[in-house]
Amino acid sequence: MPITASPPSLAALAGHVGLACLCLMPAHAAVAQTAASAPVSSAPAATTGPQSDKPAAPRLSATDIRQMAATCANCHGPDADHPVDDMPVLHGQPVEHLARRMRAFRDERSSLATVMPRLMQGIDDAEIDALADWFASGGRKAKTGEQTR
Amino acid sequence: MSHRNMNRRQAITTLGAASSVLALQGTTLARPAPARAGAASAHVVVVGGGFGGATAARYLREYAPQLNVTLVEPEKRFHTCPFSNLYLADLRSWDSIGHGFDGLRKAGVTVVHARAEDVNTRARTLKLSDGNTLRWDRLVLSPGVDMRWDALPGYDEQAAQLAPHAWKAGPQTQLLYRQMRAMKDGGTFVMVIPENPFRCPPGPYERAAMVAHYFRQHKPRSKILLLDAKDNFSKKALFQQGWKARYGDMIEWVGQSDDGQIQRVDARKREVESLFGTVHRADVLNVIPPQKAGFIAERAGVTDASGWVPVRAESFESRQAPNVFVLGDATIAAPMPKSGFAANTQGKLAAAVIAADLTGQPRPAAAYANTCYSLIGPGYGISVAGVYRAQEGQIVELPGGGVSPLETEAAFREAEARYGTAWYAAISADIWDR
Repeated sequence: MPITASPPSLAALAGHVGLACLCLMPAHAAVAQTAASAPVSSAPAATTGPQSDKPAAPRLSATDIRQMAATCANCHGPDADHPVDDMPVLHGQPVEHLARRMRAFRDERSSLATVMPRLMQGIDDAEIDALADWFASGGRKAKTGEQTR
Repeated sequence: MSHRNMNRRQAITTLGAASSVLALQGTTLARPAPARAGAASAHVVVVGGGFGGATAARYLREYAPQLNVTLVEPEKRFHTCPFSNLYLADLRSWDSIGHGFDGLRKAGVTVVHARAEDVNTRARTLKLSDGNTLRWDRLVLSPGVDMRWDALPGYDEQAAQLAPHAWKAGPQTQLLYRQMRAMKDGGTFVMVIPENPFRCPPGPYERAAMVAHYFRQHKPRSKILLLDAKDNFSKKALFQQGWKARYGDMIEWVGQSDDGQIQRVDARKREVESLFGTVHRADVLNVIPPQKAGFIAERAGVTDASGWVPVRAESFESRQAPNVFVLGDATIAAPMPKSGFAANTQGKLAAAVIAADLTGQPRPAAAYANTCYSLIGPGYGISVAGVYRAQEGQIVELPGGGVSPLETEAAFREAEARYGTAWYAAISADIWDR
């Protein structure tokens, strides 16, 4: 793929910036509202941002999800070709199974998963669904806001 | 918005400049491939083959295969600090914590085994110990830590040959290993532990457990004395519970308010003196001194008065030098700890940001995470975990996170010991070994 040689239009830039703000802020606003134990200081944007009182549907780009998913590789392995003892492979699993497990970690705090309940507390439903899609498709695509634009 | 706009413009200017091979002050400027007009590929140079740097190099190639990526790392095999405590306990071999760079070469990364000696951020060059100078469009520094030899009177590079810090995995770790084996039963292992911030906050306390595991088997009358410059430390209650459960009274920890802070080291006599003048004599003396960002960060002018590197929360770009990204232990990234896991997620984010900037795509939202397992003994692990985002220029920790429960069943500790081993295998494959 060649590197883009011509400058992008200002409108396109504004679109990207708008998207970047949208995908970050409402997600955290939602987090701060659902987690009763969340200290206010840990989510300043949620209490001071103008959008904080209307939790619009988060719009995550594919690269946003790719970045979140990349952190999972550190314990689960980078792909299905590198399975690790004692760790479930995520890539290629059924999407419903992945989404159900992530919600169970977050909402039921299943104890022998040890770190997973702690890691999932701040992840919202839209992020869980997009991550499940990402891994179910083998780490190539995710159902995201970008596709519906 | 203007920030993003500027990045686009910089990207375009950069690509023009990158399309020629230049000579500077008589030194050949090495570039991995000649660039063609119109399809010029930018050159990203990454310094440091550890958790941050090797990750960034690999993921740059994955996210933007048209980029030229050069990784500069002096060692042919990188030995990790994580699991080096297990090596001290004979629970891992030295070879099993070393990683070569063939996997990165296979991914299209040019690996250069040399030391990075100087950075010119205006000319965008990096001078190497092999005489070459690399020209870069983006520079990624993941230099780890250097010891502050001036911080603890009596403790310098010569002293470290007698009283190893073993806080960079390598000859220092092997020296400490040999000293533990040479020590007589009934001896005292003394560890000097610094104030925050330092590399791997739970590391000294895991090391205490691993030394105790070895002593329990081979030198059961020995003692471990921890002299700490602070009163609180990572997973403190869990460590103290685990030490007691597995090793009884073998490990004694002395905090700052109980005169644990050391003000002077005599490595020849293997003695340390506390702030209030108490002298402790050791049979094996392990001094972990205060630290700062690795040398090349200082040369690049990206460190501040603290000796560490301030970075932008959303990208890990230096706050002081344009087009320079800094990762891992060298950075000021609190509340993220100085850990290999954190450095890895920072490396992935920086790779995605650089790939986006150089290919004219929008940057991803910053998402980082950390999970640190510590081993108390075989079948007994504990952990701390956290998820982080960038908000309004700050790194913030999301709700949740935290440490393993203090009250739980043995199966939980056993699971965390296994998950720790799994983590090491997975992250090694992610970074080096595939």
